[in-house]
Amino acid sequence: MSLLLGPVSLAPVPPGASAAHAAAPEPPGRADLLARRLARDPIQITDHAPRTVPPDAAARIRALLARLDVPAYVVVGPGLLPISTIPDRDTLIPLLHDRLRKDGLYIVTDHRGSGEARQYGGSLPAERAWLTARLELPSDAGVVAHVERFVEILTAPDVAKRIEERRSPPPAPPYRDRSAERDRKEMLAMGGGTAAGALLTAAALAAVLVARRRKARR
Amino acid sequence: MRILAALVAALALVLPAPLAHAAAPPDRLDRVSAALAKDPLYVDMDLADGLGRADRSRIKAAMRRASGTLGLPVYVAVIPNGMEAESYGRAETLLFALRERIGRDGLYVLADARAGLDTEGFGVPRRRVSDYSLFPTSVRQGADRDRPFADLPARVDRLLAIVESSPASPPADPHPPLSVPPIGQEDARPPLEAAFWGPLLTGLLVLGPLLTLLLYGAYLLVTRIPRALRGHARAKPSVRRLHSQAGKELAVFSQELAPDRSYSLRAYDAARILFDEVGPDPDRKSADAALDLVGVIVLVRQGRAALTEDRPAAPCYVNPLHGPSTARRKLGGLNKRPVCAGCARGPWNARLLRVPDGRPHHDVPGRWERGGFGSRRADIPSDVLESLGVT
Repeated sequence: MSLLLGPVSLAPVPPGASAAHAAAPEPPGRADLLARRLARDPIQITDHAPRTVPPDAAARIRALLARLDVPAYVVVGPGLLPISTIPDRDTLIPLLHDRLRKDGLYIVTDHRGSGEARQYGGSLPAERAWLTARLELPSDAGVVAHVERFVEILTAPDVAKRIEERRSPPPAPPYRDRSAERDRKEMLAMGGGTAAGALLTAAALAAVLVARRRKARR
Repeated sequence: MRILAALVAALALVLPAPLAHAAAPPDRLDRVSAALAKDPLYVDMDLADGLGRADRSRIKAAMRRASGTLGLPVYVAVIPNGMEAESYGRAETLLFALRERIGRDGLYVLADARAGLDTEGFGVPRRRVSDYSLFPTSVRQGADRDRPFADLPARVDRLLAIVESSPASPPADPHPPLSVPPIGQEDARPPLEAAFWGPLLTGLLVLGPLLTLLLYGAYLLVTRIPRALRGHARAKPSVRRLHSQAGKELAVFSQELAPDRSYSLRAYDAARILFDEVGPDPDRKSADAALDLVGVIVLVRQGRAALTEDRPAAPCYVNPLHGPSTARRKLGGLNKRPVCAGCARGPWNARLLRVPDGRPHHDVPGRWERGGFGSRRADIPSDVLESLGVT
């Protein structure tokens, strides 16, 4: 880790500009800004994902986590951040804990429910419970369903057993190729139409030929 | 007048306002546009770590420069814009929405969570400013996939420089973006149903009749073409075909013989003896066999004609298989010869009967050279019987 961090911390400071840089403070980072907000409201839901996070998500998550009876700090952020430059769902919890300096249950996730949970100053198996919830739910269940399953796992009579006997996710509905179904129906209609048209034309042709032959015979 | 103007102003204030804002709850566009109106570089909280102080001041310097050159504000928003956003992941939708909220023309630049750049120019006096292809991929996307924000200041600088150096043109508004589905109705579109009447009528009215006509045409081809081919004598018939045709016609003729028609009887005898002389399996390349078989056919036809008429007409000299002659015609270097109606006019050279090696029949020395299949000497049966040594 130090091997990686060493050059990075040394490289970006140009020798001439160090005095100017020291004068102006760096802008606050993501963890700083999030920690400030969490201090005001421990449930922080991003407004970048209104299509997948329902408007009442904050209220529902707050109500769900209240059943655990521990202080909870939740960050639901936008998905797909480049994790190597910006602390994201998997690296953010220690940074937030450092800045908030408060023990409790930390959940950092995105609108899909990925990410992780960790508890400081307690013995809840939060990490394993969150992982279990993710494995039990389909990928499009949404973050509220994940919190719901997470709380359900942690409030089970025997939490360790509940985690151990992980429920399998609901089976995906069998794949239905609507395009192929549509094609088959349309081909059937066209085939039927062709057969009917061919028979009708053949009948008309036969009638014409018979009439002509009769006329020729007379 | 003043009352009217006041009324219009009041209407303009009252009418669009409830339409535009009554239903929409506050969303991120409100806070982003408010922040942009104060500071034209907006870095969203979630992407704050992507740009340090030096990066931001470099971007701002480039923005100031471009703003001075263009005479319009330049807005740069660094903000995630995924499929889950109200813009459905479409940069132009987001930029148009921001332009509407801010209410000022200018160059709007978006850097999303992957530091990919998009622009829209509203009233920017530069050509193709909203054209996607104006900016190379190296400007639109970060060079390092894992650290896409690393070169973002340089890329914004280059992007603005490209816009500044683009040829001047009267400002034009960009095309409005494609509409995005309302929130919560992304999957509301019902699945496409199978068409029924189109395919059915296509089959009934077009394909079915076409199929019948094709089949009928094929039937006509199969039944009529051999008949037509049989009727039409070939210029260079094969020995095998001639042998089978001669055999068939001879067999038919043998059923029709009448004892009181001596010419017919002699013709039959000559044809039968000649046919036997050629043998059951003649050489395919043999010119004599080919001509002898033609002679058999001519004898049979002459004999059959003699059943009803006294003196059958001489066969066509161009090709005796054409049938009886109806006219006389001068053929090249030859004298006037009897020809059938088909050979009486038009080119005859291609219709000339030729033996398998390609020579015209009158160039083959032998039994038929002198008499020309009866066109020059009328009594073919006698000639043939004589040449066969039968008298």
